[in-house]
Amino acid sequence: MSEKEKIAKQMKEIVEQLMSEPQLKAHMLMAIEQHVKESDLLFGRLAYLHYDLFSTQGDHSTYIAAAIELIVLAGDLLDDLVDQDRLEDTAIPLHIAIGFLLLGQQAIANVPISSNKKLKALSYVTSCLLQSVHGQQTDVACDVQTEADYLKMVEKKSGSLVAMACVIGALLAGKEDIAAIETYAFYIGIAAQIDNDFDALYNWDKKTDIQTKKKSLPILYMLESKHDDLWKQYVNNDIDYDRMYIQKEKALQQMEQEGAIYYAKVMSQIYKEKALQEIEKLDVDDAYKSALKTLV
Amino acid sequence: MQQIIRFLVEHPEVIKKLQNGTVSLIGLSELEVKAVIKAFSESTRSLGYWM
Repeated sequence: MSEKEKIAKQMKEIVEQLMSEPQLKAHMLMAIEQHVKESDLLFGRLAYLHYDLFSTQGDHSTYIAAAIELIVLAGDLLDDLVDQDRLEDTAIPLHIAIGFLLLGQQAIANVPISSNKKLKALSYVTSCLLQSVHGQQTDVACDVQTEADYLKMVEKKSGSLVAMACVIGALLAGKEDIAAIETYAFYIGIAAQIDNDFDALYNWDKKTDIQTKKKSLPILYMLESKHDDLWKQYVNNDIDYDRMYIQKEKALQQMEQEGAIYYAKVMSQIYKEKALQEIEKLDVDDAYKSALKTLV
Repeated sequence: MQQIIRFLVEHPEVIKKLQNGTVSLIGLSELEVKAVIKAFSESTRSLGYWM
């Protein structure tokens, strides 16, 4: 069984064990199935690897990974609710999301290790989730005007979640100094979000980013162009979404010709390189460094 | 970084020279140059990707 399959199985077992309401439980199990199809469970795998890396005792890696992945799944569902990406009815998804959010934290509290480590870990979870909510709010409020604004928002929204995954694994394993881990975790999160926003440019029917005029890096780049282009017209309300939608291929072509696509790719690559550089500095076995680098 | 990308798009011959190490870009760190070379080595996504 692969690491991903083990984490997915453990996520379902936690739901089976801790959820009693049959309808909600069934929905949560279905949501996990869907999540596993769409995701490579990066957050869980990062938590797994970091616990394994610093632990000297019992094997709780899979359980901790599942707990983190449940919390991240809650965030994904709440994100979908806010963006209305694919949801029609909001009551059940909201309960599922809250259920996962609490379940992940309950699972961390249930890990059979010292209360001191768990207290630090749960406090860190709360702190990261709060940061992520701040970033998310800046994003949906379209408060991003510059590259610096975007990077600050993404650091909070996504960097904090990757930091949560890496650091929780380390804290529960007893690692006290988490500064270096936080540094590369934030870089990984920023790069992943740049890539995610980039993918949204090609998925107008699945994501609402363009409809809601979220200013990702390629769009910010187009707004700074000396040429007139569809992106400027759209963001400045000179054309509406329907007119933009029918010209989406032309809009993307303009991005490619201007270099906006390269810009996003370069920025993502910069953060990946920064993460790899920090990972290389870690005082751990080369095999772990290699495993960690494959997740960047 | 935006200005550098615009310059490189307008002067694609510089990218090859960057890749060969025959020119350098003032103001960019070694890490940033590495990222620029890697990104420009990959092709941009096909327009046929619409989903």
